[in-house]
Parts: sequence; C-alpha cells; structure tokens
Amino acid sequence: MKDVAIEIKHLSKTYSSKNRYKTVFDYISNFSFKKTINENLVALREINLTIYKGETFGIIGRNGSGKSSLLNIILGAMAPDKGSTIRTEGRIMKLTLGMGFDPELSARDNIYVNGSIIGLSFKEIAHIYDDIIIFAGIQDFQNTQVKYYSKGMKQRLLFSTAIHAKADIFLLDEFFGGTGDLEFRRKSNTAFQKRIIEGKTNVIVSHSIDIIKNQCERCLWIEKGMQKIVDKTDKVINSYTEFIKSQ
Amino acid sequence: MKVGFSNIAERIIKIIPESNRFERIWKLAQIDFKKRYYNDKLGLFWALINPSIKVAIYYVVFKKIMNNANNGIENYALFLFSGIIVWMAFSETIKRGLRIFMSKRYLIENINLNKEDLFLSNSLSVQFGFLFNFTAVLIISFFTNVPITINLLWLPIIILNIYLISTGLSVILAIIYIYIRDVMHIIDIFLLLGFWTSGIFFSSESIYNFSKIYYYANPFVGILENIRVVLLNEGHLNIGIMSLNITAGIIIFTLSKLILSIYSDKILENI
Repeated sequence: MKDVAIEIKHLSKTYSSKNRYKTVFDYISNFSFKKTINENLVALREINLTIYKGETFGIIGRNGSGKSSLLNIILGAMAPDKGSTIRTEGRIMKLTLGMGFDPELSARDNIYVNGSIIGLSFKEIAHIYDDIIIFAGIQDFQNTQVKYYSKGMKQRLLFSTAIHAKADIFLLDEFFGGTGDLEFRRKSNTAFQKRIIEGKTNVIVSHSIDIIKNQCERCLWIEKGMQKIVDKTDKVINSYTEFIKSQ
Repeated sequence: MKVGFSNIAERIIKIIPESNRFERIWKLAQIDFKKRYYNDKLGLFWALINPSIKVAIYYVVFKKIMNNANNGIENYALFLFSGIIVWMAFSETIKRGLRIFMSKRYLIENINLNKEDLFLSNSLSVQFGFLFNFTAVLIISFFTNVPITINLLWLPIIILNIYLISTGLSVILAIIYIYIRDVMHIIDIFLLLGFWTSGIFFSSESIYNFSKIYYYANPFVGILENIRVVLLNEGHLNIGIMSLNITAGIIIFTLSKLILSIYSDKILENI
C-alpha cells in the first residue's frame, strides 16, 4: 500500500466579503441589523484528494478556478472552511517565480533566510551554500544586493536556491525548469528533474498542458472551485481540452 | 562607518546550542538591522545620532528655555537619554511590527512560517540598536562620574520586560491592523501620549503624585524608574513595580501568542 503525502477530504474555502473592509468607516457604513445579502466568494467546494509519497501530481484549471487557493491551503498558509480535513506528511515548500527574495539583501543573506525558514540549520545551509552560488554562476556577486542583479542572475539564483531546498513536498506554482540562457536552461532542466521531481512529492500547477502531460501521472481539473475530475493525466487533459474548445 | 557587529553576532551564535528556530530569529533580526543601518555611510551611528539630537533639543527646552522645569534632577541629559532610548525601542518595535505581514509577505506566502518568529526577530533587531545606545549611556556615565553599581545586574530583566511588552503588543496591534488600517492613527496618538506621560522628562514620583492608578497602569513608568536606578544610580530599585510590570509583560505576551494562534492562517487572505 502506498504511503499518503497529502490527504484532503471535503475541503471548501470561502472568502468573506468582510475581508474588503479595511477602515472603521467601512465597518460603520456597512453595518446593518438586518441580515445582509451574502456576497461571500466560494473559491473551493468539496475537494477530495489523496496524493501519494513520491508522486508528481498536476492541477489544471482556468484562471480564477481556485488552484492557488488550494496550494495555499495545502501549504498551511491559509485556513480552509470548517468541516474540511487536510493532512500532510513532511516539510512543504512552495516554489513560484516571485518567491521569497528580498531585493535589499545580498544573495548570501537571502539564501540563509530562506534556508533557515524551511528548517535548515546554519550548518546545513553552509554545506550547500557554495553549490547554490556556483550553480547560479554568481560567485563574484554573492555579497551584492539582489536589486542590482540582472533579470537572468535573479532567475538563476532563484532556481539554484529552489533546487537545493530540502523539502518533502514541493508545491510548484507556474514554476518549472528552464530559465536563463540556453546553457543554463539545459543544466537547470537536468538538475530540476534530478533534485525536485525524482523521489519527492510534487504538486504542479501550470497553464502549460505539456508540462502537466510530461511530468504528472495523475491530475486534478478544477473549474470554478469545483473538482471536475481526478484521474490519469491523459484522461483529465482530454476532458479539459474538449471543455475549453466547447466554451 | 561599518561596525563589525555581524562578526560578533556570528561568534556569539556559535557558542549557543544549535537550534533552527533560534538561528532563524537571529538571522531575520540580523538582516533587518543590517538593512536599517548598514546601507548608510554612517551605518550604526545613525542609531546613536537620532536619540542624541532628541536629547540635545529636550535638554535645551527643559533646562534652559523653561528654566529647570525638571524638579532639579541631577544629570538631566543622561536622565533624558536613558528614557528616550527605552521609549524609542518600544515605539520602533510597535511601528515596525504593525506592517510586518506586508513587509514580510514574500516569506509568509511561500513557506508555512511560524509568524511569531517575525515579531520576535523584529523586536530583537530593535534591541540591537537599543543595546548600542545603552552602551553609549554607560560610557557617558563613566566619564561624568556616575557610579556604576551592582544594580546593573538587574538590567537583563528590565530589557526582557521591555521585550515581552513590546513584542506582545506589536503582535496584537499587527493583527488588528490587517482588519482595521486606521488603527495606526490611534497608535500614533497613544505613542505620543505615552512619550509625554511615562516619565521620560519627569521623575516617576511626580507621576505617582499626579495619579497612582496611572503610575501602576502604565508599565513604562516603572520600567523607566528602575532603569534610572540601574544606570544613573537614582534612588532604590522598586522591586514591587518591577514584579508588577513583569507580570504585565508575561500576560501581554501570552495573550499575543493566543491571538496569533487563532488568526495565523487568516492573515494571508486579509493583507
């Protein structure tokens, strides 16, 4: 029997319309003794899902379908509605293209901050530090503030940090191998497969059907917060593309 | 000017048993401190220049223009300096803590981080500046022949007390701030009120004579009273008020942990 990495049961997420109130005036002007019309936004409804250890699982759906909300809930950064159950095993990290870098800090400080936040000790970070810098090819700029980096350097640093991260579950939100120039792209694709995809549990959210098709064994299609299908990737993608064409 | 603060800090951390959480808080505090002071040419000395200028202004106003409106307090400049640095540490912790979820959004939206660490590191980073100023007070005391007594040993407890109160309050206010943004205007008013009524300019005795309730209700009156005993050898240490303030600090800090545990996973969708 396969070990479970993520188990989701009856998961729903509703954003309250009150989230928009930000000042005392907002609260007073919208106050009413009568029951107000419910303007809450249902982002996810009755999602049931089991992702196994070592599996690379895809999530597809149109913009605003609830993919990012689902990732944030799995990450633990956002609470689901009452009655939802979510169980995760191991250290989770979300990788996105705009991920955790402070432009005012040097690459060194950013690597140490990110490393310590995902649970690495300074000793462990020191152990992988040189590899990250060398892989990103920024040996001469490791103490320069990231805001002075070119776009390519930033991408290489980000990518290099990500592939050296030690997490059991990666949530990849439109983040995939192949950034920078041709040489780095080739190098990064290999490293990405080897260090992130192989042997880890991955949940990939992407608009690229090719990425989902090539990487994921199974996949979930969400439409307007509702779970449409969870099945083998080919089957889900066929239904999804047919649906998109019919729209 | 750049001071080798990080080197000293790295050495200290090496002798402390390895703990990822402590390292994380330390690193966040260290980079925060670096960002504030190390990018300027004068570096850490801005931390000293700011309160020094304030002391100079208030000294001239109270001592010279208002003709000794300070009940004849000896070493009035040092009296002011010690009060101002404590209050600055407190108000800076509160103000910086208020927007912490916004300024550290890049961290909280990608990693399930214990959000309390953001506040602990924020306060610690402010305390670095406070300790620098505090050392300046000690040096001035030495050159102005203020005796340094055994009471100095109480200082870590007083600093811990300031840390507990300011961290706890900054957590509570930051959570209120994500729901009600105009709370910052109310905080500004309270900070101004506290600045003028907590005993930075006057002795705690005058506050006690004015209102006993306020003397006990505002922990900074007692904190400033005791810190002057420790630094300036003014009167006797008030253990009673210190115990009361430490209890208040523990209650505020525990309450902030409770509130944060309730709201922690609601923060991202509200900022």
